Amino acid sequence: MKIVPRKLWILATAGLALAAAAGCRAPQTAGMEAGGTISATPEGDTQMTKFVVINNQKLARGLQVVDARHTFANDILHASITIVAKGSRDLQFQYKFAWFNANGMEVEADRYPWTPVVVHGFESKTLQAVAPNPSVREFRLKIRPL
Amino acid sequence: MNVNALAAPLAAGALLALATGCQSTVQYGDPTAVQSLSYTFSSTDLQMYAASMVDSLLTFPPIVEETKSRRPVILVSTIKNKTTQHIDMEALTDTVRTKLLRSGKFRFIDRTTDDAAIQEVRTQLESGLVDPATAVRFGQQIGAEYLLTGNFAQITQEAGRTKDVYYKLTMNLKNLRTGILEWSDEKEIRKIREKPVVNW
Repeated sequence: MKIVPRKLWILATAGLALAAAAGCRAPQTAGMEAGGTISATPEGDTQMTKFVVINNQKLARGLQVVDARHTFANDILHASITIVAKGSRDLQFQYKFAWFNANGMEVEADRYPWTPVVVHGFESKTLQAVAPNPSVREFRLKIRPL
Repeated sequence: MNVNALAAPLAAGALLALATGCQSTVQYGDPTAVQSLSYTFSSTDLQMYAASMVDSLLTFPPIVEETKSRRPVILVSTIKNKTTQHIDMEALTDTVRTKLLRSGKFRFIDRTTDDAAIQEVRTQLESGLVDPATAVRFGQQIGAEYLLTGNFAQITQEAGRTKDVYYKLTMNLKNLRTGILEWSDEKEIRKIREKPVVNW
Protein backbone atom coordinates (compact mmCIF):
# COMPACT_ATOMS: atom_id res chain seq x y z
CA MET A 1 0.00 0.00 0.00
CA LYS A 2 1.28 3.40 -0.90
CA ILE A 3 1.57 5.76 2.00
CA VAL A 4 -0.18 9.10 1.39
CA PRO A 5 2.17 12.00 2.19
CA ARG A 6 1.51 13.63 5.55
CA LYS A 7 1.25 17.12 4.07
CA LEU A 8 -1.61 16.05 1.83
CA TRP A 9 -3.54 14.63 4.77
CA ILE A 10 -3.16 17.80 6.81
CA LEU A 11 -4.18 19.88 3.81
CA ALA A 12 -7.29 17.75 3.25
CA THR A 13 -8.28 17.92 6.91
CA ALA A 14 -7.77 21.68 7.06
CA GLY A 15 -9.83 22.07 3.90
CA LEU A 16 -12.68 20.04 5.34
CA ALA A 17 -12.66 22.01 8.57
CA LEU A 18 -12.66 25.27 6.60
CA ALA A 19 -15.60 24.09 4.49
CA ALA A 20 -17.48 23.13 7.64
CA ALA A 21 -16.81 26.50 9.21
CA ALA A 22 -17.78 28.44 6.09
CA GLY A 23 -20.91 26.39 5.43
CA CYS A 24 -22.30 26.82 8.91
CA ARG A 25 -21.24 30.36 9.68
CA ALA A 26 -24.08 32.80 10.29
CA PRO A 27 -24.32 35.42 7.51
CA GLN A 28 -23.28 39.05 8.01
CA THR A 29 -26.39 40.93 9.15
CA ALA A 30 -24.91 44.15 10.55
CA GLY A 31 -25.80 47.21 8.52
CA MET A 32 -26.70 50.87 8.81
CA GLU A 33 -29.54 52.82 10.40
CA ALA A 34 -30.70 56.27 9.41
CA GLY A 35 -33.71 58.19 10.53
CA GLY A 36 -35.25 61.23 12.06
CA THR A 37 -37.16 62.39 15.10
CA ILE A 38 -39.92 64.90 14.41
CA SER A 39 -40.77 67.54 16.97
CA ALA A 40 -43.05 70.56 16.92
CA THR A 41 -41.55 74.05 16.83
CA PRO A 42 -43.04 76.94 18.85
CA GLU A 43 -44.23 78.43 15.53
CA GLY A 44 -46.44 75.38 14.94
CA ASP A 45 -44.24 73.81 12.26
CA THR A 46 -42.38 70.53 12.56
CA GLN A 47 -38.63 70.02 12.57
CA MET A 48 -36.60 66.87 12.22
CA THR A 49 -33.42 65.77 13.98
CA LYS A 50 -31.59 63.39 11.65
CA PHE A 51 -29.19 60.61 12.52
CA VAL A 52 -27.12 57.91 10.84
CA VAL A 53 -25.57 54.91 12.62
CA ILE A 54 -23.05 52.75 10.77
CA ASN A 55 -22.41 49.23 12.02
CA ASN A 56 -20.99 47.79 8.81
CA GLN A 57 -18.02 49.65 7.33
CA LYS A 58 -18.02 47.54 4.17
CA LEU A 59 -21.63 48.47 3.43
CA ALA A 60 -20.96 52.13 4.30
CA ARG A 61 -18.08 52.21 1.81
CA GLY A 62 -20.52 51.29 -0.98
CA LEU A 63 -23.57 53.21 0.13
CA GLN A 64 -24.14 56.68 1.55
CA VAL A 65 -27.19 58.20 3.17
CA VAL A 66 -27.46 61.72 1.77
CA ASP A 67 -30.83 63.03 2.84
CA ALA A 68 -33.83 62.40 5.08
CA ARG A 69 -37.13 64.19 4.66
CA HIS A 70 -40.61 64.01 6.07
CA THR A 71 -44.08 65.27 5.39
CA PHE A 72 -47.47 64.69 6.96
CA ALA A 73 -50.42 63.43 4.93
CA ASN A 74 -53.55 63.63 7.05
CA ASP A 75 -51.55 63.47 10.33
CA ILE A 76 -49.73 60.36 9.10
CA LEU A 77 -45.95 60.66 8.79
CA HIS A 78 -44.50 60.08 5.34
CA ALA A 79 -40.76 59.43 5.58
CA SER A 80 -38.19 59.42 2.81
CA ILE A 81 -34.46 58.72 2.86
CA THR A 82 -32.16 59.22 -0.12
CA ILE A 83 -29.16 56.97 -0.58
CA VAL A 84 -26.39 57.06 -3.19
CA ALA A 85 -24.21 54.21 -4.44
CA LYS A 86 -20.53 55.10 -4.17
CA GLY A 87 -19.35 52.50 -6.68
CA SER A 88 -19.95 51.84 -10.36
CA ARG A 89 -21.42 48.37 -9.92
CA ASP A 90 -24.92 47.17 -8.98
CA LEU A 91 -25.41 47.01 -5.24
CA GLN A 92 -28.01 44.71 -3.70
CA PHE A 93 -29.24 45.20 -0.17
CA GLN A 94 -32.41 45.12 1.89
CA TYR A 95 -34.14 47.76 3.95
CA LYS A 96 -36.97 48.12 6.39
CA PHE A 97 -38.62 50.98 8.24
CA ALA A 98 -39.35 51.01 11.94
CA TRP A 99 -41.71 53.52 13.57
CA PHE A 100 -41.78 55.09 17.03
CA ASN A 101 -44.25 57.36 18.79
CA ALA A 102 -43.49 60.59 20.68
CA ASN A 103 -42.51 58.60 23.79
CA GLY A 104 -40.05 56.49 21.82
CA MET A 105 -42.22 53.35 21.93
CA GLU A 106 -42.11 51.29 18.76
CA VAL A 107 -45.39 51.35 16.85
CA GLU A 108 -46.56 48.18 15.05
CA ALA A 109 -43.24 46.51 15.82
CA ASP A 110 -42.01 43.94 13.31
CA ARG A 111 -44.95 44.37 10.94
CA TYR A 112 -42.84 45.80 8.13
CA PRO A 113 -40.98 43.51 5.74
CA TRP A 114 -37.34 43.59 4.80
CA THR A 115 -37.52 44.80 1.21
CA PRO A 116 -34.83 43.84 -1.30
CA VAL A 117 -33.57 46.64 -3.54
CA VAL A 118 -30.98 47.10 -6.28
CA VAL A 119 -29.05 50.35 -6.74
CA HIS A 120 -27.13 50.75 -9.98
CA GLY A 121 -23.68 52.33 -10.20
CA PHE A 122 -23.59 55.84 -8.69
CA GLU A 123 -27.38 55.90 -8.71
CA SER A 124 -29.33 57.76 -6.05
CA LYS A 125 -32.49 56.18 -4.78
CA THR A 126 -35.23 57.40 -2.48
CA LEU A 127 -36.65 54.87 -0.05
CA GLN A 128 -40.07 55.92 1.15
CA ALA A 129 -42.69 54.60 3.51
CA VAL A 130 -45.81 55.75 5.27
CA ALA A 131 -46.20 55.36 9.02
CA PRO A 132 -48.78 52.82 10.19
CA ASN A 133 -50.84 55.39 12.10
CA PRO A 134 -50.93 59.06 13.18
CA SER A 135 -49.08 58.49 16.50
CA VAL A 136 -45.66 58.09 14.80
CA ARG A 137 -43.08 60.83 15.48
CA GLU A 138 -39.82 59.01 14.76
CA PHE A 139 -38.70 56.74 11.96
CA ARG A 140 -35.65 54.58 11.43
CA LEU A 141 -34.54 53.06 8.17
CA LYS A 142 -32.53 49.89 8.61
CA ILE A 143 -30.24 48.78 5.79
CA ARG A 144 -28.32 45.51 5.69
CA PRO A 145 -26.61 43.35 3.07
CA LEU A 146 -28.89 40.96 1.18
CA MET B 1 5.29 7.07 13.44
CA ASN B 2 2.91 5.85 10.78
CA VAL B 3 1.50 8.85 8.89
CA ASN B 4 -1.74 7.09 8.02
CA ALA B 5 -2.41 6.22 11.66
CA LEU B 6 -2.48 9.93 12.53
CA ALA B 7 -4.33 11.19 9.47
CA ALA B 8 -7.28 8.83 9.52
CA PRO B 9 -8.68 9.84 12.96
CA LEU B 10 -8.05 13.49 12.09
CA ALA B 11 -10.05 13.25 8.87
CA ALA B 12 -12.79 11.30 10.67
CA GLY B 13 -12.94 14.02 13.31
CA ALA B 14 -13.26 16.74 10.68
CA LEU B 15 -16.03 14.78 8.96
CA LEU B 16 -17.84 14.36 12.27
CA ALA B 17 -17.58 18.10 12.95
CA LEU B 18 -18.97 18.76 9.49
CA ALA B 19 -21.84 16.33 10.03
CA THR B 20 -22.82 17.53 13.49
CA GLY B 21 -22.29 21.20 12.70
CA CYS B 22 -24.56 21.17 9.68
CA GLN B 23 -27.17 18.63 10.66
CA SER B 24 -30.79 19.43 9.98
CA THR B 25 -32.22 21.68 12.69
CA VAL B 26 -35.38 23.72 13.11
CA GLN B 27 -35.21 27.23 14.48
CA TYR B 28 -37.43 30.27 14.54
CA GLY B 29 -36.68 32.79 11.80
CA ASP B 30 -37.55 36.42 11.22
CA PRO B 31 -41.02 36.45 9.55
CA THR B 32 -40.17 39.77 7.89
CA ALA B 33 -36.87 38.55 6.39
CA VAL B 34 -36.38 38.48 2.63
CA GLN B 35 -37.26 35.02 1.37
CA SER B 36 -36.13 34.18 -2.13
CA LEU B 37 -35.85 30.42 -2.30
CA SER B 38 -37.65 30.29 -5.65
CA TYR B 39 -39.37 32.50 -8.22
CA THR B 40 -42.85 31.63 -6.93
CA PHE B 41 -44.99 33.99 -4.85
CA SER B 42 -43.32 34.37 -1.44
CA SER B 43 -44.04 35.83 1.98
CA THR B 44 -41.77 38.78 1.13
CA ASP B 45 -43.89 39.47 -1.97
CA LEU B 46 -47.09 39.41 0.06
CA GLN B 47 -45.71 41.87 2.61
CA MET B 48 -44.24 44.15 -0.06
CA TYR B 49 -47.49 44.29 -2.06
CA ALA B 50 -49.58 45.00 1.02
CA ALA B 51 -47.23 47.70 2.34
CA SER B 52 -46.98 49.39 -1.05
CA MET B 53 -50.75 49.46 -1.64
CA VAL B 54 -51.54 50.72 1.85
CA ASP B 55 -48.87 53.46 1.63
CA SER B 56 -50.26 54.56 -1.73
CA LEU B 57 -53.88 54.67 -0.57
CA LEU B 58 -53.05 56.55 2.64
CA THR B 59 -51.16 59.30 0.80
CA PHE B 60 -53.32 59.76 -2.31
CA PRO B 61 -54.44 63.43 -2.02
CA PRO B 62 -58.21 63.00 -2.67
CA ILE B 63 -58.30 60.10 -0.17
CA VAL B 64 -56.34 62.19 2.36
CA GLU B 65 -59.01 64.88 1.93
CA GLU B 66 -61.83 62.34 2.29
CA THR B 67 -60.45 60.78 5.48
CA LYS B 68 -59.57 64.05 7.21
CA SER B 69 -62.72 64.35 9.28
CA ARG B 70 -64.36 60.92 9.02
CA ARG B 71 -63.59 57.23 8.55
CA PRO B 72 -65.21 55.95 5.34
CA VAL B 73 -66.64 52.41 5.31
CA ILE B 74 -65.01 50.01 2.85
CA LEU B 75 -65.94 46.54 1.68
CA VAL B 76 -62.94 44.52 0.52
CA SER B 77 -63.48 41.96 -2.19
CA THR B 78 -60.90 39.16 -2.43
CA ILE B 79 -58.14 40.01 -4.91
CA LYS B 80 -58.46 37.93 -8.10
CA ASN B 81 -55.63 35.51 -8.80
CA LYS B 82 -54.82 35.54 -12.52
CA THR B 83 -51.43 33.87 -12.19
CA THR B 84 -50.61 30.26 -13.00
CA GLN B 85 -49.89 29.55 -9.35
CA HIS B 86 -52.18 28.55 -6.53
CA ILE B 87 -51.97 31.48 -4.14
CA ASP B 88 -54.10 32.17 -1.08
CA MET B 89 -55.35 35.58 -2.19
CA GLU B 90 -57.41 35.92 0.95
CA ALA B 91 -54.17 36.12 2.95
CA LEU B 92 -52.98 39.04 0.81
CA THR B 93 -56.43 40.70 0.98
CA ASP B 94 -56.50 40.28 4.77
CA THR B 95 -53.05 41.85 5.16
CA VAL B 96 -54.08 44.89 3.11
CA ARG B 97 -57.31 45.26 5.08
CA THR B 98 -55.59 44.86 8.46
CA LYS B 99 -53.00 47.51 7.65
CA LEU B 100 -55.65 49.95 6.43
CA LEU B 101 -57.82 49.32 9.47
CA ARG B 102 -54.90 49.85 11.86
CA SER B 103 -54.10 53.20 10.25
CA GLY B 104 -57.29 54.44 11.94
CA LYS B 105 -58.45 56.14 8.73
CA PHE B 106 -61.01 53.59 7.48
CA ARG B 107 -63.69 51.25 8.76
CA PHE B 108 -64.49 47.92 7.15
CA ILE B 109 -67.36 45.57 6.51
CA ASP B 110 -66.67 41.85 6.55
CA ARG B 111 -69.19 39.87 4.54
CA THR B 112 -67.52 36.50 5.19
CA THR B 113 -68.95 36.32 8.72
CA ASP B 114 -72.49 37.36 7.79
CA ASP B 115 -73.97 33.87 8.18
CA ALA B 116 -72.83 33.67 11.79
CA ALA B 117 -74.02 37.25 12.41
CA ILE B 118 -77.50 36.55 10.99
CA GLN B 119 -77.72 33.41 13.11
CA GLU B 120 -76.81 35.40 16.23
CA VAL B 121 -79.29 38.23 15.54
CA ARG B 122 -82.01 35.68 14.88
CA THR B 123 -81.22 33.93 18.17
CA GLN B 124 -81.34 37.25 20.02
CA LEU B 125 -84.73 38.11 18.53
CA GLU B 126 -86.46 34.74 18.51
CA SER B 127 -85.07 32.53 21.26
CA GLY B 128 -86.54 34.57 24.11
CA LEU B 129 -83.22 34.38 25.94
CA VAL B 130 -82.15 37.95 25.32
CA ASP B 131 -83.55 41.08 26.96
CA PRO B 132 -85.42 42.82 24.09
CA ALA B 133 -83.97 46.17 25.20
CA THR B 134 -80.42 44.99 24.43
CA ALA B 135 -81.21 42.71 21.46
CA VAL B 136 -79.77 43.74 18.11
CA ARG B 137 -82.37 44.22 15.39
CA PHE B 138 -82.10 43.58 11.69
CA GLY B 139 -81.57 46.52 9.39
CA GLN B 140 -79.22 48.57 11.54
CA GLN B 141 -75.87 47.87 9.92
CA ILE B 142 -74.01 50.57 8.04
CA GLY B 143 -73.68 50.14 4.29
CA ALA B 144 -70.28 50.24 2.58
CA GLU B 145 -69.41 53.43 0.68
CA TYR B 146 -66.43 52.02 -1.15
CA LEU B 147 -65.46 48.71 -2.70
CA LEU B 148 -61.77 47.72 -2.73
CA THR B 149 -60.95 45.27 -5.51
CA GLY B 150 -57.76 43.87 -7.00
CA ASN B 151 -56.21 41.76 -9.72
CA PHE B 152 -52.98 39.82 -9.49
CA ALA B 153 -51.26 38.97 -12.77
CA GLN B 154 -48.10 37.15 -13.81
CA ILE B 155 -45.99 37.15 -16.97
CA THR B 156 -43.35 34.46 -17.27
CA GLN B 157 -40.56 34.27 -19.83
CA GLU B 158 -38.04 31.50 -20.05
CA ALA B 159 -34.96 31.21 -22.24
CA GLY B 160 -32.19 28.70 -21.70
CA ARG B 161 -31.13 28.73 -18.09
CA THR B 162 -32.90 32.01 -17.27
CA LYS B 163 -36.47 32.34 -16.04
CA ASP B 164 -37.98 35.79 -15.65
CA VAL B 165 -41.21 36.10 -13.69
CA TYR B 166 -43.02 39.43 -13.54
CA TYR B 167 -45.84 39.97 -11.05
CA LYS B 168 -48.25 42.85 -11.02
CA LEU B 169 -50.87 43.70 -8.43
CA THR B 170 -53.49 46.29 -9.37
CA MET B 171 -55.94 47.57 -6.78
CA ASN B 172 -58.93 49.88 -7.24
CA LEU B 173 -61.18 51.76 -4.86
CA LYS B 174 -64.65 52.22 -6.28
CA ASN B 175 -67.24 54.63 -4.93
CA LEU B 176 -70.37 52.47 -4.67
CA ARG B 177 -72.80 55.38 -4.95
CA THR B 178 -71.31 57.04 -8.02
CA GLY B 179 -69.47 54.09 -9.55
CA ILE B 180 -66.36 56.22 -9.92
CA LEU B 181 -62.90 54.77 -9.28
CA GLU B 182 -61.52 57.04 -6.57
CA TRP B 183 -58.07 55.46 -6.40
CA SER B 184 -56.03 52.90 -8.25
CA ASP B 185 -52.45 51.75 -8.05
CA GLU B 186 -50.09 49.08 -9.29
CA LYS B 187 -47.11 47.39 -7.73
CA GLU B 188 -44.72 45.37 -9.84
CA ILE B 189 -42.15 42.79 -8.79
CA ARG B 190 -39.66 41.06 -11.07
CA LYS B 191 -37.87 37.84 -10.13
CA ILE B 192 -35.09 36.34 -12.20
CA ARG B 193 -33.81 32.82 -11.71
CA GLU B 194 -30.48 31.78 -13.24
CA LYS B 195 -29.84 28.05 -13.18
CA PRO B 196 -26.18 27.16 -12.61
CA VAL B 197 -24.31 25.43 -15.44
CA VAL B 198 -23.82 22.39 -13.24
CA ASN B 199 -27.03 21.47 -11.50
CA TRP B 200 -28.08 18.48 -9.42
